[in-house]
Amino acid sequence: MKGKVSESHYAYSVTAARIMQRALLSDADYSLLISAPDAIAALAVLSSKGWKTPADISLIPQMLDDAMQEVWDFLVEFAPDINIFKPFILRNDYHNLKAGLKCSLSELQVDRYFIRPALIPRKLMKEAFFENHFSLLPEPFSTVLKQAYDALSETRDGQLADIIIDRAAIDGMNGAANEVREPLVRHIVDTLCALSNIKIAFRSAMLGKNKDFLNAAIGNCSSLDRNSLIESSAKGFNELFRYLKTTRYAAQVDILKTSPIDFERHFEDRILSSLEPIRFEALGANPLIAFFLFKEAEIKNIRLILAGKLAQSSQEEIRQRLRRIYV
Amino acid sequence: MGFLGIILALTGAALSVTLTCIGSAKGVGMTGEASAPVMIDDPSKFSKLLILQLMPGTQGLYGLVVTVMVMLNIGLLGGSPDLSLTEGLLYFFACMPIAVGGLISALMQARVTVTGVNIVAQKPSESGKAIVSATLVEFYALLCFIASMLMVLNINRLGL
Amino acid sequence: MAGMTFNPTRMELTRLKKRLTTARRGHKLLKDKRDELMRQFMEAISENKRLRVALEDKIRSANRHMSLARSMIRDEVIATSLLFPKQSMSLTIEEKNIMSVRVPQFTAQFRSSDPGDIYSYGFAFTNAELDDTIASISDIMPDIIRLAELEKSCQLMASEIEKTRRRVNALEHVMIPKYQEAIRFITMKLDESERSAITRLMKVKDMMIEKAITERQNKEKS
Repeated sequence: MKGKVSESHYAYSVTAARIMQRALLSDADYSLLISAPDAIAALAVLSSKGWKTPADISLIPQMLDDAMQEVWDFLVEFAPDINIFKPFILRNDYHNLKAGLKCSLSELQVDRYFIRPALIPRKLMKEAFFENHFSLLPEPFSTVLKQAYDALSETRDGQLADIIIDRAAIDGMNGAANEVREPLVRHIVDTLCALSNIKIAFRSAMLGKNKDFLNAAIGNCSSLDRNSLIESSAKGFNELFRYLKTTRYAAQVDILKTSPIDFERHFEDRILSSLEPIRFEALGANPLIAFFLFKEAEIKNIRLILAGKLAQSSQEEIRQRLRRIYV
Repeated sequence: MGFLGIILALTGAALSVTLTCIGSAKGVGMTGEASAPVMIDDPSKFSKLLILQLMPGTQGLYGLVVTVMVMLNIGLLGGSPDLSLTEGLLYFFACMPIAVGGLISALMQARVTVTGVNIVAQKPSESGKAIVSATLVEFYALLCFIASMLMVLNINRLGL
Repeated sequence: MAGMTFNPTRMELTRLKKRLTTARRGHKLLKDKRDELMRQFMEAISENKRLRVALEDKIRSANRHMSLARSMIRDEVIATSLLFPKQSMSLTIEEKNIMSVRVPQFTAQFRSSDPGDIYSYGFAFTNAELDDTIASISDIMPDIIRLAELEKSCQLMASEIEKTRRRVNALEHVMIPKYQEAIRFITMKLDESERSAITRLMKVKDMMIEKAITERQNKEKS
C-alpha cells in the first residue's frame, strides 16, 4: 500500500479543478441543450459554453474523447497522486484489450475501436497486437490477454473472451482501488464493481446461464459476497433478489425488478449524489475525485443529449436519462 | 544556577517564534499554492488573494514579538542576563500559548483561507465572507498572543 | 392479309381451323391461369404488405433501442461487443411451384439452439438497453426471411402474370382474329374459285350446247 499524500498537497490542484469546475454545465445549460431543435443547434449551445465543438456531427465522439482526455491530462499534470484515479481509467485499458484482440483475430483496423484516455499508450497497445507480442504489455494485462486470446482463437466465442477480460477488469479496478488510501475512491470503485457484478448476475439469471459462466464472469468486490452472488443467480431471479436484499444494495432491488436500465442509472446517480457534500471541500483528494466524476458524468450527459438529438428522441425521454450533476 | 534559567527562557522564546513561523509558513505556502491557479485564471483577483494569503502569516509575527519581549525582559538585548530557575520556567510557560496556539491556529486558518481561495475562484462576490471567517480564526491567535504578552510583561513584577 | 402468306387451299383451311381451335382453347386456359395467378398474387401481396408494415415497425423500435443504447454506451464499446458473433445462421433455399412459377422457400438454421447466444459480449460494461436492441433485431430475423421469400415470390409471380397476360392478349387480339380473317379469306377465295368453276362449267355447257345446235342445224341444212 502506498502512503497517502498529505491533503495539503492538493491545494493547488483542487483550486485548479475548482476553476475548471466552473465550466461545468448548469441545469439551465442542460435545459438549453435539451430544448435545442437538433444536434447542430445543441453543438452551438455547447460551443457558447466554451466547448471546442466540431463543425461536423460525425466528429462528436472525437470531441467527447478529447474532452475526457483533457481532464485526464489535467489530472496527470496536477494531481499529487495520479494513482487514485487509475481505478477509474483502468476499464478503458481493458476495453482496448478486447478491441485489439477481436480486431487482430478478424483482421480489422483497430484504431477506431480504441478508446481514450488509457493507461497503456495506444502505440504500445498496437505493437502488442502486431504479431501478438502480448508480453510487451505490463502485467496483469499480458496474462489476461493471453488467456482471452487462447479462448477466442479456439472457440471463436466473443462472449467468452469478453467475460475473461471483464472479470480481469473488475478485479483490476478493485485491486487498484484497494491500493489507494482514499476511502472515497475505494467506496466508489467498489460500488462500480458491484454494479457490474449485479448486471452480470441479473442478466445471467435472465438467460439461465450456469454456474461455470457466472464463476468466470463475476469478479471480486468487497460489498458483495462473490460466492453467494454466483450461487443465488444460478438459481434464478428470486434467489438473486433475495440475496441482494441482504446486501448494501437492498434499496435498489425493487428498481432492478422493474427496470434494469433505471437500476443502472440509479446506481450512478447514487454515486454522484454521494459526491454532493464533498464538492466544496478545499483540501484533500475528495474534491478532485468529485470533479473527475462530475466531468465524466457531464461527458456522458452530452453524449446522451447529442445521441438523443440525432435519433430525434423526445425532450422528455432525454431528460429522463440525464445524470444529475451538482454544480 | 542563572544559566539554567536563561536556557529555559530562551527555549521558550525560540519555540514561540519557531512553531508560529512553521505554522505561518505552511499556511501561507498552502494558500499561495491554492491561489496560483486562480491568479492564472484571473489576475485581477490578486488583491483579494493576497489578503487571504497573508492571514496565516500573522501568527509568525506574534511569535516574533513575544520572543523579542522575552529577550528584552531577561536582558539578553543589551543587559546582564541573570535569571533564576523559577523565572526561566515562568518565561518558558509564558511563551507556550502563542507557540502552541499560534502553530495550531495558523494551520487551521490555512484551511479556512484555502477554502476562501476556492470561494474567490468560484464566486468572487462572496470573497468578503471568506475573509471574515478567516479573521475569526485570527481572533484566537490574537488571544494567545495577548495572553503570552501579558504573562511575559508581568513576570518581572513578581520580583522572584 | 398483311404479314401472313398462305395458299388459299382447302388443306390450309383445315390447318388454320385446327389452329384456331387450339388458340381458342389456349386462350381460355391462359386466361384461367392468369386469373388464378392474380388471385394468388393478391393474397401474397396483401400478406407482404402486412408483414412489411409490421416489420418496419419492429425495425423502427430496434433502431430506437439502438439509439438509446448508443446514448449510454460509447460507440467503440458497442462495436467491439458485436465484433465476434456467437450465434450464426445458415439459409437453405428450396423451390416451390405455384402455377408453374418457381418461388423460393427459405429455411434458417442456427448454429446454437440457446436463445442467449445472440449476445456476443460480456455483461459487465454493457447494459440492458443493448440486450434489448440485440433481442429485438434477432426477433425480426424470421420475419425478414419470410418477407424476402414473399417479396421474391411476388416479383416472380408478377412477371409471370405479365407474361401470361401478354400471351392472352396476343391470342385474343392478334392470333385469333388473324386466324379468323385467314379462314374467312380462304373460304371466300375457295367460294370464289368454286363460283368461277361453276360459271366456267356453265359457259362450257352453253358453248357445247351452241356447238351441238349449230351441228344439228348444219346437218338439217345438208
